[in-house]
Amino acid sequence: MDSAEIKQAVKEYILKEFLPDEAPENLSFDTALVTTGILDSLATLDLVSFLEETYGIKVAAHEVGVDHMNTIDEIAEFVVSKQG
Amino acid sequence: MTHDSNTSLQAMFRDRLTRNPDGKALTFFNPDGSHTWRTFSEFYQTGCRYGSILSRGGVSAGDVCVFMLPSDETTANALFGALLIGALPLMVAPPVVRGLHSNLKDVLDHVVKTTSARMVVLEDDEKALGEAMQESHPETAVVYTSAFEQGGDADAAPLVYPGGEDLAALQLTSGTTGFPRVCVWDQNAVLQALHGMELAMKLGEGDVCVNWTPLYHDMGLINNFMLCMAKDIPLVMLETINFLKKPASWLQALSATGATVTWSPNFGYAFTAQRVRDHHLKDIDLSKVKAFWNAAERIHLDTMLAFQSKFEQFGVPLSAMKTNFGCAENVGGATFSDAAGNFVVEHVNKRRLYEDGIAVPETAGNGSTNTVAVVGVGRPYPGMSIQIQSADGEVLPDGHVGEIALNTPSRMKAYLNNEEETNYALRDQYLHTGDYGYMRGEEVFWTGRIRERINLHGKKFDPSDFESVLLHIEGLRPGCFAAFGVDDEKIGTQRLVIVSEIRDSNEQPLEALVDEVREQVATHLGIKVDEVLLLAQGTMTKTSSGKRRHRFYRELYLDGEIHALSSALT
Repeated sequence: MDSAEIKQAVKEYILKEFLPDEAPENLSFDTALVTTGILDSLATLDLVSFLEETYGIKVAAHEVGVDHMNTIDEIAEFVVSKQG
Repeated sequence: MTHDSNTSLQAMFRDRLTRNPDGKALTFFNPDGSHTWRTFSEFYQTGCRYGSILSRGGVSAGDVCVFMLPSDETTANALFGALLIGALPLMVAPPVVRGLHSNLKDVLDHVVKTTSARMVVLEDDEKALGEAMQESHPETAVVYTSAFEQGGDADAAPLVYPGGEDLAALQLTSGTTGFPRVCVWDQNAVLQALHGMELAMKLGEGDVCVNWTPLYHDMGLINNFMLCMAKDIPLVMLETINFLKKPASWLQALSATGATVTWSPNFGYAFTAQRVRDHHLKDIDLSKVKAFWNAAERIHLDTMLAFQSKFEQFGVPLSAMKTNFGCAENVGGATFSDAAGNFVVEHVNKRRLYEDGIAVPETAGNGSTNTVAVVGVGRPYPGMSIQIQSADGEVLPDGHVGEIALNTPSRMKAYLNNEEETNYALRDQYLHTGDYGYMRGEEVFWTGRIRERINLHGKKFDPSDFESVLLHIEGLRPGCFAAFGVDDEKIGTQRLVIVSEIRDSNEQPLEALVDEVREQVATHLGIKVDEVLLLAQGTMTKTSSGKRRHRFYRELYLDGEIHALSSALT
């Protein structure tokens, strides 16, 4: 799966699970998710679980952080690097 | 060295080693379901090796050793090693999401300074924090978990057997100044707590306990780790992060190990019932679990019923759902619902409860909006007695709401270096918990907190925790804010609401200000603000005390009486 498809899948998951009342156009691929509190720690870990199950990757505890997961762009890049 | 198994944790560990060295002690349940039991002898040996490394690093009996670590196997070994050499472990919550919690250094500074800690142990990838700590506290050793990977000599561990009056451990609890207070527990209190819990929970041979709660929380540390290690109960641990990623792993661990006992704050039950996927439940059997203990935050009847009903088909009867009340100031649990029966619920008149402070039972809920369900948190463990006291210290009769006061052999010795708050909490032979409740016979019903405290997923925050964060936001009027938690039965815990005045001079769009409040709180404290309400300068009603202000605004909010310039929900 390429980066564009991952971004779209992650966006759909976030909208469905954490922002059910949000218009899709309001969530961009570069919207800050963690530092703005859109995703709290529980939501971030739920998203990690989704990534692990969907893309067959393993995310270590120290990788769950702002550096890799603050935007959909970063998340997709992280997933691709893990798959590579 | 001689020892009496009734005087210290260390003597109890040694006694277990003598009596049952080859019995199962501890296993970590991995996400793929694999787990390997370690005997107590193996765990003890590993603990001795870790203890020798701590000792070589300068830690002696009575020294405070701060661990800011996830609840994994290395941490369990290090914690046990510290206990074996008589050091005083103090567990500090690490960030779940790296890059948040930028106030961690401040919290660690405060903790190290308050306790004169001899050592701080951090994960290897926290070297920047470690270097900053070393610079600020040159007298405190900073070590990383890789130091435990090899080396050490189990035979060289300087094992100790303290007396009953000696200290056993320290525990953080939310404070009133934006920094946690440090509860000091002595050996007598810890042993009394463990004995009381064993009796009240009716623990015995054949019991197996599963724990996912973190070791920095007293539920993980006392109700699980210390209880199981001291009382010869096999303990299955899940790393907290693995439970939060996949709550079904908790149920899988219970099923795979034939566990009989487990603990969780209320939110864990709500979270699991909502998040577990059907395909994770294949071959799950929970019929051996005799007790799902619920404690550490408000217990919602709906959560208990939703969890039990969802997992009834896997062998969870209503009688397995248990309730408990405790606080860090009283080591371990204080009250327990009937280990052999159902927990108690009262449907009481809402107006009489909240306006008059009297719990008047009414016939069943019937969906009436005039009644509220109050879950009983059980009866005190044998050896403890409880009073409900008025603000004047008068003992109140059954059904009257007042402060829950414990005459308890397991109370803390003090708040470290905080005589004023110690004397207030431990006055007149009773531990004053700061919790509101009432009694009906021996059953205790918890109804709320005297001092506003925000409880998010079992982790407690004081409104003052937010002050320093909000102070730095241009546009907000310093000190003119309220922060409070609002119960949310759907998520089984509280939602966080912040109300703040803005400055007249503020030129930022209100939406941007709301976003900044969220961002700053997430970055500094690692938590999400569920709702931000901004008010014009000079419109927040003054109260003589910050404590009252937060409660006052919480009540206004619940009555729909806050008229904000801007509000934003997520």
